[in-house]
Amino acid sequence: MKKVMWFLSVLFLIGTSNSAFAATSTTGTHGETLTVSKTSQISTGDALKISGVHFDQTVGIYVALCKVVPKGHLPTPCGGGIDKTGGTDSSMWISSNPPPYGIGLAKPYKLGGRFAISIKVSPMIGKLDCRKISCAIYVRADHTRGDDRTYDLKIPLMFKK
Amino acid sequence: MIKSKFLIAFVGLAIATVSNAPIAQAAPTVQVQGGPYTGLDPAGADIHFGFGNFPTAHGLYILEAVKSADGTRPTIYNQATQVWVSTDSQAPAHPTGDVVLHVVGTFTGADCAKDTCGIFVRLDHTAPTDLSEDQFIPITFKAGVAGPALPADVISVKVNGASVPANVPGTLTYGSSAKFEVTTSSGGAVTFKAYGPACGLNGNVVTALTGTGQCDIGVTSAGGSTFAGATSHYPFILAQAKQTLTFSVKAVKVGKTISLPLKTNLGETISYTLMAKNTCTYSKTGSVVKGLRVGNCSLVATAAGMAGNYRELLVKISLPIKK
Repeated sequence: MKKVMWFLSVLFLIGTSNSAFAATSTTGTHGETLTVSKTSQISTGDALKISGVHFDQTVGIYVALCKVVPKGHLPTPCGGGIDKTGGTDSSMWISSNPPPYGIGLAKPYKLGGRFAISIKVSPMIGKLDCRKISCAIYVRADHTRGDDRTYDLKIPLMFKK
Repeated sequence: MIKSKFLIAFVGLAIATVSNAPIAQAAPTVQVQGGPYTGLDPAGADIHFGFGNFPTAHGLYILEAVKSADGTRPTIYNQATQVWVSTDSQAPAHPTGDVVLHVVGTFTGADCAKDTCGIFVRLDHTAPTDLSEDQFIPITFKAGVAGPALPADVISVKVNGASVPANVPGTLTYGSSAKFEVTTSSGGAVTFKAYGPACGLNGNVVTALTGTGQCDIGVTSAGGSTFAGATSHYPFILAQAKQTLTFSVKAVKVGKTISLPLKTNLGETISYTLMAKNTCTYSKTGSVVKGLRVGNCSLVATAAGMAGNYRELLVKISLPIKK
């Protein structure tokens, strides 16, 4: 019986280990789906492929690595901050109707409310260490709807210790 | 305070389309209270409005106009300052807010020192032919003060190569674009503004970001030495796009294979279901159909829709299998 339990445990570990490397998705209340290419065993500088489909193109969003916060709270702090300059790869602004200063900085959605980006992540968000606290890839409505929490989505990440 | 310069959409639509209809004889239901209506500065004055019995199903347009001689809806009105009052989230003025209309003593086609100017109230674009709330409230200006001397700039617009009048809604399907080409009498440059989030604006190209609702593009000329600045509005009714599947293969030979498209025109992944296995096979990998024997190969193609933008795809495909 012990051997059977050990075998099943090994199978379980193999299964969870494999699934941890698989893409992970979550769907929001508006029907939008967020997918992250890898959610565990993440190293500094890893470029995560993040994609979305069926997002509301009338609503701009930020995509970034942030500290996990209780549901309904503004996700903050986030790695690299809100990247209005578009100068880093640590966060991304997706919008098809940005304010005039955002034209050329924000990446527009594609048909079907789609986007596909790559974000380089680090376990450090300022002084916070995502190897010790819970962090996640977050999507939230951009600063033009800064208080709107209905577009928040998150997929937790696990960094290598 | 909601300023009248934030005009959105559709003002003038019904004026253009039903301009010969007489103003309703029955008393309007909506009560318009405002002022001042007399002794106004012809160089520019603000009139504030409040409403009683505001319509529940429609909004109102409030505009400065010249009373028509035959009792029909006015055809001469101040295009630069009009207000759309509605509970619609995209309306610039809410019926319970401070609704302000800016009026002037002279505007294109009108001199209020000679013409009977006033405030014209009517139902908005959701009820363009309904005259039941039409009403005209006369206004007067102070004498002896010079009004604006320059005529408003004339803005001419082509959208995707075709001339379009201001204030008359066009249609834009989800994901499609409209390219604006603008000329003005002043010869000056223009600026564009998309009112509301439903349309994206990149330079002079407008793209529908949703398949429902409406958006309004404002085109503003700063004017010049001979023309005063002006703004014209080009509203769009947004419509859902049609999701389609396109492939050109008309038949498959026995023993041969073809690949079916993997995506629809809107980028959705297509799933195929083989309806009968006696004439062909279908392999999900590469979406490949192979002819087995002469007859018809029937498949059903489906793809997800997106609420408000396009419906799901459901297409039956019949591929002849030939020798």
